[in-house]
Amino acid sequence: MLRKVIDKTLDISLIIILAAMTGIVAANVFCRFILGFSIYWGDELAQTLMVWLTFLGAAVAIRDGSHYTFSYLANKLKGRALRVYIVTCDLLVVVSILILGYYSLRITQGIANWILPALEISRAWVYVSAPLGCLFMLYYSISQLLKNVDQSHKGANQ
Amino acid sequence: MIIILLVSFFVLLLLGVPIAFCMLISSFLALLFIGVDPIMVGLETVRSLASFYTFLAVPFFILAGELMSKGGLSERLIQLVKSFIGHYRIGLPGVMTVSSQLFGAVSGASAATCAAVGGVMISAMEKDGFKRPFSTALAACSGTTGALIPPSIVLLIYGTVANVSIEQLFIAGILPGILVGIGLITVSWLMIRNMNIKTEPKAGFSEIRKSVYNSLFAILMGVIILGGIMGGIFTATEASAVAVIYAVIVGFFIHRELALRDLPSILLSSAKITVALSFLIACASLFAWTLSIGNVPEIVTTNLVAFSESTVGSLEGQLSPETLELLRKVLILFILNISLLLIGMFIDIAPALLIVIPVVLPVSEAIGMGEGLAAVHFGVLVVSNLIIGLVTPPVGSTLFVASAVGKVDILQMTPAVLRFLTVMIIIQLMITYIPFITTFLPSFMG
Repeated sequence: MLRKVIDKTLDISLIIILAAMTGIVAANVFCRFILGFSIYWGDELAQTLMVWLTFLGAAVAIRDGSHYTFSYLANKLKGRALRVYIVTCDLLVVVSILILGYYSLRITQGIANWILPALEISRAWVYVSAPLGCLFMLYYSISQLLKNVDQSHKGANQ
Repeated sequence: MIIILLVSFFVLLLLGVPIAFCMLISSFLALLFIGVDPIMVGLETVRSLASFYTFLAVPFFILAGELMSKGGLSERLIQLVKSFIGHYRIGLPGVMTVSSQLFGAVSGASAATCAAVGGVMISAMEKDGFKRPFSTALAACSGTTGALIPPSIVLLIYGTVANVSIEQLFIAGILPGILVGIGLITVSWLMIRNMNIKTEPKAGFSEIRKSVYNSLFAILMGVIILGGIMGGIFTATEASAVAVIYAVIVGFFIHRELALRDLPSILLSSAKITVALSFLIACASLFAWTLSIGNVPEIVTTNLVAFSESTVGSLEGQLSPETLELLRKVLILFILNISLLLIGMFIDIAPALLIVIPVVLPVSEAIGMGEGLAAVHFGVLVVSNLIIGLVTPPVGSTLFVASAVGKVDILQMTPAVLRFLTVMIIIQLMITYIPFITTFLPSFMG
């Protein structure tokens, strides 16, 4: 249930963010060429949305297994070795998300007083996407880890 | 520190940890080791992304490509090329290559190009007597030109990270892309001599007119993008946004193949393709920063220059200083060619590119290719060199796509692939040592 809600929320967020980015940049091009002025905060907003797209999307990419991976070795392994290999790999992903999450949270706090020049809002609005994205990444990577540990137990018992 | 950074990176890579996370962990360990506050892990990843304005073009070009190819774009382009050259003996391989290039002018990636064109052409070619492994191998190799012909996602990434004009890179990629196409057709021509081939009937005038009309709007999109960029009207980012709007208008109002309910799934799939790249770029920026803290790019460059000097040095006195300088440059470029080929063979193009850029940029400066059109030439040669890796057995990613689309085992394709690879490598050497091929078109830009 929770999983479905998170899945749906993230998918819809990605759709809205990409549509908004496209809309802003296209509107800006229209203004510049046809109306002769430009939306001065447009590019900054589009770039901020790009950061949000990336970190929320990184969680979706963990869910779908679509991050770039060098999988040559995994394709060669079988049985017990493969199971150990997969679990180790999942564990390392969890660790790296924790690292990124912790430091991006610290930087978000540290940067709260810095203001974006055009949007005139705190830079924390850009940076907070990283710890938030890490939270979702953590959710998916841990559930994947648990699933793989479970499967390797079953595999070992058979 | 360098040892920790590189060893941990490669161990994690071999363990099958996604490459972005390999970069994160190894940078973190290296920074921890030298006592730098690893808060840079949080800062550099986000900061880099927020500052890459030109990268915005990546999701837009992907989106435009997805929108355009939703309604049978590949069939229309294939029909167009077929009505012109389909009746020759070399016709169908030619159709496959040329329509891949046209498709590449709409889509920005080789896997998409290979799947779209190969999916239609491989079976069609089998009916006319072309052997399946041959046509599948050709689908893979001609698909790679999709990554070179603008709008090219990999050239965009190169330009963004290396800070080279994306507009010039795009225009510079055209001739190399066409050259690879000509090379592939030539090799095909030699390879089909012993095949028993049925030629297609010649297309009548009305058929030609119909196929031109059907693909007119797709071709026009390429013309708008390239014309706008070449004429200095648009930046690449603006062109990408225009391409999306254009694709929406054509899809909804002219071909009427798009419906509102298709939009969310198209947006989502484009977002997913983008994110795999952008998250990688965020982590690669951190990795590049850590590499530079460890002076890795400098060390590589110094050693490379020293090696080339000591090798060429034995000829000193026999040759003029200019010739020596040229030899030195050729030697460094040749070492670069080989290393890029090897890296590209094992790592997919986007991560490979992001790993090599911070290291090769100082090299380009050391051999006087750091500025202006020379920098553009350097960028195209690095990218096209890595592109070859997309179709090298055993792990070339476009090869896998082709193998899935054509339902042919990679092992069966290998003999044909190796022949195509030979010509691709020859053309790579031409691109590397004849600057004219890449700099000719951009030299006309305003």
